[in-house]
Amino acid sequence: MLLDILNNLLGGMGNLFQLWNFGLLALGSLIGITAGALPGIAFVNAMALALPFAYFMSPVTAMLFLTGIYVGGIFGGSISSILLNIPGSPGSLPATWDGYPLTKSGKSAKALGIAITCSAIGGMVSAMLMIFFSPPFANFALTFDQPEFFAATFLGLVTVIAIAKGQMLPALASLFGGLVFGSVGFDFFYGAPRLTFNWEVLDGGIHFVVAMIGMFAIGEVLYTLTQNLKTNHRNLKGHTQLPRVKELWDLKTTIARASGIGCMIGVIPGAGGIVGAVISYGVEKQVSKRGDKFGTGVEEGLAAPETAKNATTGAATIPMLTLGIPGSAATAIMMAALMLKGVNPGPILFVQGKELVYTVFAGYLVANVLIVVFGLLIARGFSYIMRVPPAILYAIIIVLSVIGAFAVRNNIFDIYIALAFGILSYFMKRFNFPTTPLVLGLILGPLMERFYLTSLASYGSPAEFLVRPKTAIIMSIAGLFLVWSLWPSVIETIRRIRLKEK
Amino acid sequence: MVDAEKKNKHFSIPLFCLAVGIILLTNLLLDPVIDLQKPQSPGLWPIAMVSGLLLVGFCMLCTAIRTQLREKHNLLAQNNNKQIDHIGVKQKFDFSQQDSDESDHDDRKLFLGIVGIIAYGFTVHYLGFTLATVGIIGYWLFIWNIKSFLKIISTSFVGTGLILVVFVKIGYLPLPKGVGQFHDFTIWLFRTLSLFQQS
Repeated sequence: MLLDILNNLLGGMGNLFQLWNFGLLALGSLIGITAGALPGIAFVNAMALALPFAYFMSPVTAMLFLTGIYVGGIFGGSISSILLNIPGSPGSLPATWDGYPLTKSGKSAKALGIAITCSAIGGMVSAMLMIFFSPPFANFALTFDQPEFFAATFLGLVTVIAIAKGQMLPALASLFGGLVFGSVGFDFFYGAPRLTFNWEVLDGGIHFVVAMIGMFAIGEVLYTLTQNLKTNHRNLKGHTQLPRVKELWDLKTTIARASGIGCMIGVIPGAGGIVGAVISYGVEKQVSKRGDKFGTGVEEGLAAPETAKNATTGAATIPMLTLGIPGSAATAIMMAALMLKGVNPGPILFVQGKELVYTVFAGYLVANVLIVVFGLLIARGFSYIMRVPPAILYAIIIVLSVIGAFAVRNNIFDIYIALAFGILSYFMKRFNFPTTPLVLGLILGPLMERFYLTSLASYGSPAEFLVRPKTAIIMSIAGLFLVWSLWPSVIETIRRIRLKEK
Repeated sequence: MVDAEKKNKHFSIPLFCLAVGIILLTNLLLDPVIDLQKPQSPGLWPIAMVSGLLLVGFCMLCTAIRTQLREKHNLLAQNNNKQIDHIGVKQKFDFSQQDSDESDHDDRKLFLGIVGIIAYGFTVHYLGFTLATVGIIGYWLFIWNIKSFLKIISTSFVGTGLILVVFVKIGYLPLPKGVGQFHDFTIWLFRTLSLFQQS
């Protein structure tokens, strides 16, 4: 199997280094780092906006383009974190804790160098995990029947909720909102329209790509408009000094730990870069000899979250490629691009679409190398990028969103849906409701319904979900996640009761 | 933010979820197409999901009521100059935590933004993509405090032109052309700019 993987990976590399493929991966990386670095535009917004361009591309090229934006974007946020103390994306928040103090003490070049190198190393480790873990996992997933897929989808939804610990109810409301939106339109079995209010345009349902474009692009534009964001930083110095081999060697245990944490967190649906980065920072603070000095500009405090953040990228892609279950907004957009091009991700893809899968794997490896090249370049030109008037940028984003929404089904009504989701997303963000559960509910809801109904049709009883060994194991893991997420609330209630008694 | 507004926000979201849930559930239960007697009934799944939404809305409402009662209790305790134990006062689901962030929002711009977006959605169909896009780019620059008329006009036209070249000429995307005379205008414009050959 190992030889097979290496052989296929070589083929993937061959595909990747065709001019058009490599050019778009590089362009994606450049766009991703830039979007990530600009406060107010997250890489997910850039990915959503890239969808309309995916129509002109082959599935392989579209995936490489999105891979470039994803991998580059998740790093890009650190540039503004380190130089401005403003995280470009949520995952870059921990970079402000030790990155910005380094900048204040005149070591911004060193801080940027550490961030770039560690992000690239974390991303490479994650890409390797994806390359060597995905094919055997996909082989295993080939033995899945409908109940197992139902259980896996259920696990995906449960983990999304479990991760939103402090925001359990808003996350649940968001998720059920997504599940309700997902059940609009014709049903899978009888073709009966549901929740359409006799409105024929809704018979086809709400396409998740349309909703995603609205939520991640239009909603973000509205949010930024009302925030009066000031982005005038003309005197920034973005020079970068890559760490020497000895300096990197000193950080080896930090990087190894953070890579491991990032990869583990990345596989969990809903966790993403921010969770990986924060947990990694916390762990490093506990184990580092200089833990008490974290927050004052300690190199380990910057290296750990940077490595972990990018180490989530490849790992997060594993469930999307092998099971067709996206665990984050970014991988959901990648799945959308594949589905728009008529490719269904899942274990079968590893049999029928090896060329695509291994080219994407190669893309992840090379995208992490490109981070170093473009990271240096963009950090240097950061002050110029910050001069782009946000008004122009956001006007173009709205127009591209409308094109993207229209292009999904060439339907004018989808434009209205995207705009409505944009407004909904604005209010959700304003009232601190997480938007990712809604999107995942919208994507996974119809899948879950289909798996549930076909399971019932094949096996007759819902008890099948508990008696089949694989399904029972997956359901038990979902149960454990639920207990884990509810545990702090239970402890707090017990503590409160005890305090009252005293 | 004043207390009354805070309270409204505590209750408005759960009540909104409950109201939406009740409307959707009623719609599903009254729909003759959705026959719950059928095996794998088409109504089963949406009813389960809407019920979930209702349940969450109810839990949120309970949490909001509990939070408010606690706040009242603490206020009374404060008035009595008693030592207050703050443990357990703040709820995890507590919208007041976001109040500081709330005040940063410019509601006038929000209103203008939403109006612009809705207007764009509707004008795309009637005026066609080209004219509506020129309009929205200009409008957006204007509400973002760009006052130079020249900048607004030039950016609107150049931006729209570039988008048309990329998506119509290169991407062959059949973007909305408008209705009636606006449709004819779009066709004429596309032909004049050599964006496509056939009508």
